[in-house]
Parts: sequence; structure tokens; C-alpha cells
Amino acid sequence: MAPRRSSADPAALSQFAAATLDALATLRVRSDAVTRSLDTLASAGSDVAVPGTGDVPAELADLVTDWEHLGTFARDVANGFYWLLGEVGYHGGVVTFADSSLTRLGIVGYADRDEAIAAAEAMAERFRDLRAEGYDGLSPDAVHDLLAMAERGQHDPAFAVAFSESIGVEGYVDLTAMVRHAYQPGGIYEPVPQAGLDGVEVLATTLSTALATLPGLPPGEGSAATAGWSRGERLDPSFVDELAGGFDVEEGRYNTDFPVRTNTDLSVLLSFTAAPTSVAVTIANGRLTPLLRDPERFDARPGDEGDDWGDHGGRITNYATMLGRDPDASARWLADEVRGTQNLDLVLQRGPDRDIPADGGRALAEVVEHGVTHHDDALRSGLMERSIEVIGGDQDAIHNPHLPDALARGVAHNMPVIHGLIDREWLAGDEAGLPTSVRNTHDFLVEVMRDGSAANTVVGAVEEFSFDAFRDLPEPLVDDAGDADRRFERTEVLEGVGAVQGLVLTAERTVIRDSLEDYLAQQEMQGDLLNFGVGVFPFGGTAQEVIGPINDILDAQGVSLGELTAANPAEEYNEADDVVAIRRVNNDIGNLVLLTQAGGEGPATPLGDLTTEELEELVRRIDASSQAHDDQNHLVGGIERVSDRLVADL
Amino acid sequence: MAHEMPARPVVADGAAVVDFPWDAAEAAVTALDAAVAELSVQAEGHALLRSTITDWEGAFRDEHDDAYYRLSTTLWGVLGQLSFRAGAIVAAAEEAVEEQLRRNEDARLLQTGPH
Repeated sequence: MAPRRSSADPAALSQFAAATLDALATLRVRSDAVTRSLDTLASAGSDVAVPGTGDVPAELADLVTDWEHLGTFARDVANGFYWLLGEVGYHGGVVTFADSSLTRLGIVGYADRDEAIAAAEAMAERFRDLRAEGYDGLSPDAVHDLLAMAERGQHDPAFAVAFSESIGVEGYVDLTAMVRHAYQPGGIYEPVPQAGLDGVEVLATTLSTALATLPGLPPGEGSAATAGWSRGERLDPSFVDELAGGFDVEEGRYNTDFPVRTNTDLSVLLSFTAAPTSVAVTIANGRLTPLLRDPERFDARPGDEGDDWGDHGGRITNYATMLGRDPDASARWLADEVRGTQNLDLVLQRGPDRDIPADGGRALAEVVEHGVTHHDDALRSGLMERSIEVIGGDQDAIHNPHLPDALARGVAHNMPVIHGLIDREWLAGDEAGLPTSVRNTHDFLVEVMRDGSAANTVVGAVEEFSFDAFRDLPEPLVDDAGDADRRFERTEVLEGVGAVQGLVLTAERTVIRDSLEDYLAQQEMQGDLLNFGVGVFPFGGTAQEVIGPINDILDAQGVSLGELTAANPAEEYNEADDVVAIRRVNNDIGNLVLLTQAGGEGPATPLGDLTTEELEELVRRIDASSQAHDDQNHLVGGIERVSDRLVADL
Repeated sequence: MAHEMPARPVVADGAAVVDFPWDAAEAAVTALDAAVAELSVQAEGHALLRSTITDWEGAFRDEHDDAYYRLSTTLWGVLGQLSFRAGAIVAAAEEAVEEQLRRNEDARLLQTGPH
């Protein structure tokens, strides 16, 4: 039999759906007005009999919802055509696809809302029957057939709400547990295969669709298609309360009960669920925060006893995966306080050893990265400052191996925070003491920069921050005689940038002195100290390519690269102080190059990308620029002020 | 067709006032009539809209049309209900007017006394 096919002009169909839904928005307003006015009339007193509201408001609202549902169906079919055309290209006109291709995308629900609700009730009924049969009726095929009943409905809000309300949170957990049982006949514990996980994903998609209908969600979070639906047509908010902890999964359950459901089952389901932001935060506060707070809690890992879900067996990992799907939810959850402790603290303090989640901490690190790189300045910088306080404070350690990279990207997004943590008055004054904020920032950077990749990110961020600052330097002031004035504002900016560089350089120095060999190995630059010296800052490029011009720049600085490298033969690479010295010189070169390039147009150009002629021209410009050298001196002033005091204090 | 509420009667001196939610009734009739008008416009407009998608064929089109057929059947029923409800409220208002006029007459008779 030939496959059934659908034809349409997707553009015309899309316009039809949009026009239908637009027009219905007006009808929804009229419907709401009827409901309100008849309610008011019914509650008013009267000496004569006033007709009651009857079923009219509900019937009208129901009609509008049915019609919106139908318009959404047409829109989804049009989108299905577009997505299929995305694979082959679209040039307008009528196109034809197999119906199976359109449904394969899984985004076309039911045309008739009543049909969707009936399908959901049929699936819920089948689920209850299967649960009642216990292990006898359970098999991968039986579970697959059951979940196939949601193939059309998983994206249909009417189906999803009806199914969710019918089986409740308990039903969702039981069904997830039944998927697990189905693939472990006779108590043979093998991780649930991909086919089982695919089934859980269908269930999670259904849950996601239902959650998007919740009334009272903040703007932009819920489904626009169900925005006008009445409360009774949408998922009840109590469902979220249950998901977030109200439903105690294992309470009162025995191993003889069927299914043997676990808290891990719920976490697996939610790891595949795309919850609205505020709902994801609520669930994470209710389910993830207590896990992180419990020092004895650890995730099951592949190979552990009870490792039924394989790589998906870690509850902390699963809830972090749910959060990590949504950068807004990640950031908001990290900023939330539960019982007086900020969630960010719990994440940063997590560890070491088995306390690291099943995935090694990757999912939690992603959540942190979403937070410290979030688009909201206040949220992002607040999380960055708190990270510095926690890690650079008493903790002085990062336990999660994926966090340094995440936090380094946070540093790159928050250079003004790092800059701001260096106390201006302290920097300008003579007092020798070290402010806590400076010490914490240094200690934080040390822990981050112990990771080679993270160190490169931080150094790159400082380079970019410096270049941006050089681009916007205030003009030098000139006194009445036409001589350069004290140039206070420009000096202050330069010293501030220098202070940031000094902080990072000193942190890097601490790391290098702690373990030069590890540091160089991570930088993948162990083979060539000279390359390391030149390569880290400011730009890439091998020593051979830039050696001549670099020597010229160094000569102008009164330093001989030859002397530096001669003092550091390859076999003595572990001489950390020499590396640190080269690093400082290298930083000075970088500043001169950046200061000179900042006077031109476009981004900074890596030295390695310049031709020999361009390099020589750059050196000539540096030599000729007394301003660059003057600025460099102020930068060095900032660097030394911070690094000297830090070194003295450390 | 829009429904017209009766004018509120003047209450005669000494007459008991008929308690009737005039404002709420007027608002309800206005809302019901507006819904009837909008629903009628939409029903006609949708017929035109559907004529723009003649190229849409296949199982999903069939499902759409079947669902719309059921929906349009409901639609005409709801239209009738809305109109009936508006008419019932107007009728109640007219009854309130009649009752007020009766009470006005009673008050007039009391004031003029028996002849």
C-alpha cells in the first residue's frame, strides 16, 4: 500500500493558521467578558428573577479553546512542512511529504481537542492496567506500545494536561520505574538501554508540554498557545508542588510493591524534562538542594550496586542536567538561598572524592557557567563575586575538575568585577596590608589557573580587557606650557589595568611555583621555554617567527632576551622563578604591543600573524611612541603595587 | 441582532424601589451581544480563510476538516445560547420595569387616597 501523503503550500498554510489564531484572540477577549459579566450579574441581588449564568460562558470558552487548538494544529503541520523542507530546501509553492515524515518530527498533535483528551485518557487507562498486571504483563514491547500512545500527544497540550492530571506525579514515576523494570527481567541489573531512555524521553516531553500550560507563569515562560485557556484546561499548580518534593517517592513502599520506584527514577524523568524556568528552579530547590546539602549523599556511578540507569543513574547529575538546559534557571537557582545557604555555595563546596556527582561534575559545572556568564549583569556579577568569596576565602580549593574552565569563562565575562575588587584607595595608598577582597581574588585565580585550559582563558580575558581599556584611555592632559600634565585620569585607568594584570600574574606565579612541571605540561608548552614565554601573553606565534622584533622591543626596555633564555637552559625548566621573570617581561612586551595597536583600527593582531615587515613596522612605532612607554610605566606601577604587596603578604 | 435593554423607570415619590442590577445586566447584555457579533464574524471569516488553503491535502487536512465540522456545529449552538441568554436578561429587565411601574402606581394611589 502506498504511503499516505500530505501536500500543502507551507506559506499559505502558515498564514491561514496565524490568521485563525489572531482572530481568535479577539473572540477570547469577548468570551472572557461574557464570563466576567455573567458572574457579576449572578452575584447581584434582584427583586425579579434574573437568569443564571448557565453553561453559556463555559461553552463559549470551551469553543474558543477548541478552535485555538485547531489553529495550533494547522500551525504545527505548517511547521512540520518547513522543518522537512529545511532538509531539502524550499523554493515556494506546493510540496508533498509522507504523513509518516511529518509525524516523525513528533510535533503534530491532534486536530480535535476532545480527541486528544480521549487519547490521553485511553493511555492513562492502559498504564493503570499494565501497572495492575505487575511483572507478569511487563516487557519492553508492552512498555513501548504504551508509550507509543503518546506519539501524537506528547506535544499536544490538551493531551499532555489530561494525561498528567489523570496519572499524577506518582503515575509518572511509576511509569518511569516500569520502563526500568521492563529492561531488567528477573531482577537482572543491566543499565536501561537507549530504547528505554527513548521511552522516558517521550514521557518527559509529555510532562514538559503539560508544564508549559501552568497558569501564572511569568511572561515568556509558558506556552503562548494555551495562554487564554481557563485554569481547568491547564495543569494544576499543585502538580509542581508534588514534583518539587511534595510527593515522597519512596515513602511507604516495599520491595514487594510494584513497581519498585525510586527517587532516581524521578530524577531520570526530570533530566529529560524541559520545564519552564521558574518551575525548574522550584524543582531544583526542592530536589537538588537537599542532595547537595547532605554530606553523605553521593550519586550512583556506572558499576555501582543499583546502577540501573547507567550513565543516567546520578540524581545530582540528573537534576543538574535539567537545570543546565536553561541558562536562566541555572543562574536563578544558583542565586537562590534555601535555609540560609546560597545554592552556589553548595555547588562550589561540593567534594572531594565520591561527593563529586556521577558525571564527574560536568553538569553542575555547566550550571555554574550559565550563572557566571549570564546576560543579566547584576545576576552574573553577583554570582562571580560569591564564587570568589567561597573559593578564594577559607576553602582555597576547587574540587570539581570541570569547574575551573567554567569559572575561567566567568572571569572572562566579569573582568569589571575583578577590577572592582581591587580597592582603589588601597591601591593609591601606602598601607601595606592586603584587603580581603584582593587576597580572595588572588586565591580564587590561583585555584582556577591550576588548570591549564582555564589559565589560558583567564590570561586571554585579561589581554582583551587591557586592550579594551587602552582603546578608551582618556586623552593625556597638557599643562599651560604645553608639557604633559600629571594625566591623573589616564594614570588611574592604567594603574587599574596594571593592578588586574598584577593580580593575575601573581596568581600565575603562585601556580608556577607550586608546580611548574604540571603547569607547563598543561599548557602543552613544556618543550620550549622560549615559546612559553612568548606564547602565553600577549599572542600566539613561535619564538622563531618573532624573535628579532621581540629582541628589539626588549632592547628598548633594557632587557636582553638572550640573557633570559641563556639563564634557562632546557634542562632547568623547573626553575620557576625564571619562568615567572620571563612571564613578567613578556607581559610588558604585550602591553607595549597592545598600547601601540590600540591606537589603530580593528582588533589586536597576534604577532604570529604579522609579516616580518609588519613586525618591524610595529617595533618602529613602539620605539617612536613616547606615550606608549609612558603609559607602560603606569601599568608597571599598578602591576608592581599589587604583586609586591601580594608577594609580601603571601 | 443586538438586544435593547428597556429604559430604567423613574421611581415615583413614595414608591418602593425595585431592586434590579441594571448596570450588571446592561454589561452582560453588551458582552453577550458583542460575543454573538464576533462569533458570527469569525464563522464567516473562517470560511473565507479556508478557501486560501485549497492546496492542503492529505490525512492532516482531513483531520482538520473533521474537527472543524464538529466545531462549527457547536458554534451555531453556542451562538443561539448566547443570544437566548441576552434575551432572557432583557426580559428580566422588562419585568423589573413593569414591577417598578406597578409600585409607582401603588404609591400614587396611596398618596391620592381613596375616592
